Amino acid sequence: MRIYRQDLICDKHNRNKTGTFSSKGIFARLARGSMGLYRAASGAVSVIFTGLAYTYVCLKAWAGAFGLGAVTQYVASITKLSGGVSSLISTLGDMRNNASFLEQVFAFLDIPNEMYQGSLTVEKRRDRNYQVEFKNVSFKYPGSSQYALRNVSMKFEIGKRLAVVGQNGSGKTTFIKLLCRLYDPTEGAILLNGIDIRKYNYREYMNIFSVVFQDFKLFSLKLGENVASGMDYDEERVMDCLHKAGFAENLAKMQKGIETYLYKDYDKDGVNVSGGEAQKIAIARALYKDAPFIILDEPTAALDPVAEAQVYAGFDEIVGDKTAIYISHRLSSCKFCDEILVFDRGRIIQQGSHALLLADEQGKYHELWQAQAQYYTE
Amino acid sequence: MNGKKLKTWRETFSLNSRALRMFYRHDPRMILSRIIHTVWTALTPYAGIYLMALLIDEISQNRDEARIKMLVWVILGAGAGIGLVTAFLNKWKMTQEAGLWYKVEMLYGEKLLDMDYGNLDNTENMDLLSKIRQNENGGGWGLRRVIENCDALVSSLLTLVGGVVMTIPLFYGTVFKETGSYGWLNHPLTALIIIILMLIITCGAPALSNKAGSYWALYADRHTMGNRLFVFLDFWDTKMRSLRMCAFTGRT
Repeated sequence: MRIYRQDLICDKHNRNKTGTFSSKGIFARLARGSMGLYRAASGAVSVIFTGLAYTYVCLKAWAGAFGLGAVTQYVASITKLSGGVSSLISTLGDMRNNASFLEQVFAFLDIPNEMYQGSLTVEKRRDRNYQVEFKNVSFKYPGSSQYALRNVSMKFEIGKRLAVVGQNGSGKTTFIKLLCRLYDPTEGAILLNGIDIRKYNYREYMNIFSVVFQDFKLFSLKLGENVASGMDYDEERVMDCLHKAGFAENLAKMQKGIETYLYKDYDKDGVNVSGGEAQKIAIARALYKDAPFIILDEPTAALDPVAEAQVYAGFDEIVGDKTAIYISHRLSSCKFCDEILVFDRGRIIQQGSHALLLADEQGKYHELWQAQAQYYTE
Repeated sequence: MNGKKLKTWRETFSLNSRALRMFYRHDPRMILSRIIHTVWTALTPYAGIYLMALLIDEISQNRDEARIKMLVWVILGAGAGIGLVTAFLNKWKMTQEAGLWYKVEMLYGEKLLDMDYGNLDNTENMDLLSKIRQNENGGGWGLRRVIENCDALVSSLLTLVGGVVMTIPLFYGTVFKETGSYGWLNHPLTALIIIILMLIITCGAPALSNKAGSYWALYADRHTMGNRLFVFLDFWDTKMRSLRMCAFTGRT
């Protein structure tokens, strides 16, 4: 704001919008015009009513129709009756005015769920032998005419480390979203142990994935609660996951340990974590869930080179016997993966190990590698 | 004029009753506490009016000491009793409605968690939710208003009924024949004219007020846009200073 004086840019843009409540705006004009006239007339009419009621009651009392007590009763009752009618009409009008706003509320609450909800339970396997297969999967985002993924077919091997690379917009994150069933494929099918994932109970299917997306969020809760995603947790397990994610040093500095609140919303002694520290906590959260599949989308993007190297060095220990899927723009991090998928414009154009793909000098992987590596050579 | 059309009465009642049913499903005690409180506070003033009228009549006419004393004790006792019950009902109502804001937020939250991810990712849907929140924050329009209107509707209906019951004797009470020129007050046409005039005036005032209020609904879109900047721009008539504050807090 200060360096670029963006307040001046906003001024020009916003001046057009501020007219609504200014002295020249629409509501001010209405207040001086028709809206104001209606309000004034309403007030005047109410005064006339009071005068009329008092006149009639007092005339009748003067003429001996009833006593003094009845005068107070009738004046009070007429006033309340009038108030009741006014309030009724006013309320009905308010209800009518509010109805168009309610329509918006229900338009939101009535947004239909169109994804097919299966009911099969996911088999619980101690050997984590889950096989996932993409069978000729194509996908278009709702409202888009362009395919984000085109004819993707591949199989996951259990316990392997799979890297997904490609340029921006090549379909990497879309691939992950389909795998996690955030969207359903437009064409083709994704199978888990030979069964279409749409047939599985949605929550059960979600349970087999631990994911760290780029736009993850941490809550203003205790560190332990963030890692465990719950209020009850195994302290030793939380600490073990934090250690594996490279958070040990930071944890040692926290006086309350895993009972430390993140951020200061609920505790003035809460800790503001940096981007890198937050990323480590997010990785620890994924580890704590201990799901058969672990998906990491640029997990070291916010880490310094030393911290990043620590994560790579401990990657095997971090992932353990899980099947790991790893999206990264830093191709150096793909070297330790068993297999690499190269995406380009929604298609898998290359598949293989680092050495194999690098050897193909005409391939996309070689091109991406050279684009990065040239700046590291002296 | 870029305003919207107001809903028909049928649509109005349908939307409001749906909202009320939704609240009742989520929290029946809140609705119950409000209705009982509203019925009680709408009708109890008439008891006071009636007893005071009896007392004033007794003081101005018969002056029976024993009866006056009795009426005084009855009024004091009724006042105390009504006050205690009103306080209890107030407390109950306030306790039940304390979480109303959170209950409404929970409705939206449950929907967000339940909806397909594709819909969650849809900017149109999120913009709709944003508009809903701005309507609530800007003018109190939306779900919470339904609760307030329900209270007001029940209260006004009961006040109306109570008022009618207490006022009917006014129109058939007759003046003495000896009063001469006031005899026209006994004529049924007089009562009819007075009633019609009162109805016209009684209906006219809020109708005019509602007409004024309807402009807020008709221009809701402009109100929403302007409300985003209202606090900081033109309010203090120091545009540049206000603009810098607005930009600093990220409200541009």
